[in-house]
Amino acid sequence: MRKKRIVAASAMVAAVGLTVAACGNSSGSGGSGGSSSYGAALTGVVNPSTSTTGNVVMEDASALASADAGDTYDATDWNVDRLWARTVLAFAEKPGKGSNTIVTDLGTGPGTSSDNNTVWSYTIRTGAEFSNGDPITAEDVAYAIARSGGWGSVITGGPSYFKEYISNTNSKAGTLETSASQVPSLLPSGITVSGQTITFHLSQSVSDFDYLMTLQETAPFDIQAGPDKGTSYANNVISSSSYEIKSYSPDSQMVLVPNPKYTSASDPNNLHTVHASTITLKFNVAQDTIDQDILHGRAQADIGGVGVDTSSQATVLSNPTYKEYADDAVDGFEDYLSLNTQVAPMNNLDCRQAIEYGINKAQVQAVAGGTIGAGQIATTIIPPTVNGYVDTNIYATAGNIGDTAKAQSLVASCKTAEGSNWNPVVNISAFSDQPKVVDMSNAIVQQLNAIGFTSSVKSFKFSNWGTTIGNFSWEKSNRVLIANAAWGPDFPDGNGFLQFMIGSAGVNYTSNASNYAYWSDPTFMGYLTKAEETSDTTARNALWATADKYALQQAVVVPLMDQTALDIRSKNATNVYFMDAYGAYNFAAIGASS
Amino acid sequence: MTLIEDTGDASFTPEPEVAAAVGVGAIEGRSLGRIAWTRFKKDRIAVVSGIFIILLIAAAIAAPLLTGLEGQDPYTLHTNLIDPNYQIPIGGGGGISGTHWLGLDLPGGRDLFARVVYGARISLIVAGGSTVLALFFGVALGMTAGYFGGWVDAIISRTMDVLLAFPLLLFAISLAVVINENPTFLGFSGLTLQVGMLWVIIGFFSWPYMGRIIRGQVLALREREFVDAARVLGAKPSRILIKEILPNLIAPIVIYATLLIPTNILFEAALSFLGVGIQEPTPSWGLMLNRAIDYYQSDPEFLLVPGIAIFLTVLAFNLLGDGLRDALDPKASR
Repeated sequence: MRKKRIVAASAMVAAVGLTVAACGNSSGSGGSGGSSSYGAALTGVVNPSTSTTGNVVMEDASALASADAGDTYDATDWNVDRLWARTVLAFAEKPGKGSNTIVTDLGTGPGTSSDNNTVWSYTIRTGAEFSNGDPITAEDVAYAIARSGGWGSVITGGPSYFKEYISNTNSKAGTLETSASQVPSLLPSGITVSGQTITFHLSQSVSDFDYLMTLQETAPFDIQAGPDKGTSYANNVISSSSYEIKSYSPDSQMVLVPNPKYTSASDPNNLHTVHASTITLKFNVAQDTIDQDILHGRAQADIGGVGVDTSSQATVLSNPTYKEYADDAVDGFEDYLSLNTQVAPMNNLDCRQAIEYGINKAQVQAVAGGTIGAGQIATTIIPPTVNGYVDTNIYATAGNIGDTAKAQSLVASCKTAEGSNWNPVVNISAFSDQPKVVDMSNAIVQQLNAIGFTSSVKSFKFSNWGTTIGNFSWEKSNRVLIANAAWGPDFPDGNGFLQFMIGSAGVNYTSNASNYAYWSDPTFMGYLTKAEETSDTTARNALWATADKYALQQAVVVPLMDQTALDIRSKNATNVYFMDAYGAYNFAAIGASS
Repeated sequence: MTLIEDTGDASFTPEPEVAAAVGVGAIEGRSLGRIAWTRFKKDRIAVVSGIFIILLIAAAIAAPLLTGLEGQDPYTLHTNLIDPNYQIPIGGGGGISGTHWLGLDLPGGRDLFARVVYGARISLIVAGGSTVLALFFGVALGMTAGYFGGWVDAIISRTMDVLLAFPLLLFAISLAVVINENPTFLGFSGLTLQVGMLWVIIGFFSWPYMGRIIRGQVLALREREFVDAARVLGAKPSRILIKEILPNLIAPIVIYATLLIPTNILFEAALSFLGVGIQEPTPSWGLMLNRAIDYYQSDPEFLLVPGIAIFLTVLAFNLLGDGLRDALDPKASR
């Protein structure tokens, strides 16, 4: 998934295999609870509290993509949506690595699979209700998946894993319902509902299907409450979790109050305990204002999750009072350059490999904020926090400063091969509303010009990505053959990371392509498919590592940094802890003491 | 303004007997220009400001030479001289050294002296170009309104009133945001687009300032006898405006253009500071302030450099403009 701003949000890798805890674990009380200190929230709960009152304020430099959980595909939304949307399975609400375990939310247990992992079944618990009193049924969950999982044309904001894996012959799959009785005819043929059980029939063997049940697309849609209004449903979302939306103006703020229909009996894992009397989310607040609000206790957290700007970094780190409110966290995202593999001269391997050698990663890291503000230099496509990572460096250079001479000779051979068609103009993109990315791109331009290309920066607002770097003809006509972006895993494994980033599923020649390199390679996809069908963890990880190495040898991507973000929390925030699974604080648990 | 006919170098050579009796040589009449120059020279502050501005323009033109002397350029990153975690030049003091005369910027460690000198180019080019635009429209429309009167004057004057009342910063920001959304606009991109956009926006909002002044001058001038004389002789309005009235407007044009430039420098700095004017990596004093403000607690020197540059330049232009006004038109009410 992409970052909203340069923020964190990712599911970190579970070093352990998939385990689903059935019940009994309370959320957030693990580890050394207690006082605040630098980095305390990474491994324990800071200021644990069981209070159910208090007014929480959390701010965002951007805004939610949508209040409709199924229509979102970024870290911030997936984290805060849990306040009003419950999913079938969820990540354990525990600090640090403890959050990589999958626990049950609306489901009664992990999925049961048969037929070599091509059939999966889940049972939805009884007793849970929507905020309007309607009971939450398996049909509500099935329809939610049908409308947003990739078959329909209206709710398209989320990832399309479901469509990819579930077999379907029903041409009406994904159309919006106008009445509850219609729903069974609108489900894909591979989804069947019987009582409170949903069964998925897959078109291929998928060993980690449980991960998909943590997606927001499984949050139930109340089919009894009238016709599906499509994208305008987001203005009046019916809550399935412990909070409901009292008021929502998409560009300014959302106010949440406790949902009276939520019962702790329906939530044995205590994932959604009521912890505040009101929660206010404020949108489009300037990052500097957010930083100051948090440092002075006017807001409890920054849901953008970007961490403080490079500018405030110095202030926070050099002031001991502020430093104790800070946590420097690996957020699981990777900054990278995506090299267009279809447009000359970038379709020539030598030119692409020249860029791999020509980038001075140390310099890029420095302008982005160093090891604390930007992160460690990345040498593989899969980051260390995702299953399938192996520590290798194919294009190693001393101190990661790059090898200009080698890059120049590669460009020279590429130039000879191109002959009279040689066009040295290779531009790089930058998000104009993300100063770090602009600085990185400006530094890279100088490096590219030094090795023999003619480069400049083409910048645009982040929200325009779908019509710019996500659009092949735009990349071609503007010669933006290098896209500067950040990517995080949808699930903590190689498939969840690579599929849409450089796999063929991410290629789209009309618009909104997430594979900015437009690379569709059968060998590479072969590794991914084989990994998906393999149950043995070691073998699977080895396949992903091979896929990673192959893609790097083809120089499809230049990995830049494995991001860290310097996050801050306010002194009056309670229950603050970092969830590795989201690469951010657990925003659904933060309370406020006065 | 008082009208003194410029009769050139009027000299009067008296008869030898008269000269011998009175004891003087040829009496030279002084031209307007010379009178003004003498008055101007007496104003020390204005002279110093004028010298400063000439030096500034020279530095802007000779920017490559100056930075060559120092051995730096405005774009090269020196990240090895910066502590990236604390975002401060290694060794403190803003990074001032023998090779970096004014220190380094953050986070890239670019040389500040080079950026200030090249930034002067941007400030002068943007302010200069927009002032020329403002002059062109202000003088043309001001003369037209003042000379023709009637409904022509009414339309132009009301337009000027509306523009002067506009919340110009808000409008400028909105327009700039729209233009910067995508990399190209009307076929332009990059620095060309940014400078062009600033010329148009700043010029568009500055011309009424000039227009009103010119209109006032022309209203007074058109009642003069030489204008009547020209009309009686059959001159067309365009000829009267260009040949008779315009030469008498030179003085106010020079004065108010000089006073308009610092306003436009500040306008450009404000837009770049807000992120909607000149973009990275081009050096612009306003943009440097934008970056420097973030680091003011850890590295205040970075903030002082462009701040002082803007302050001194704007002050110098204002003082020069005041001096010119005193020299050319001592009877004008302030």
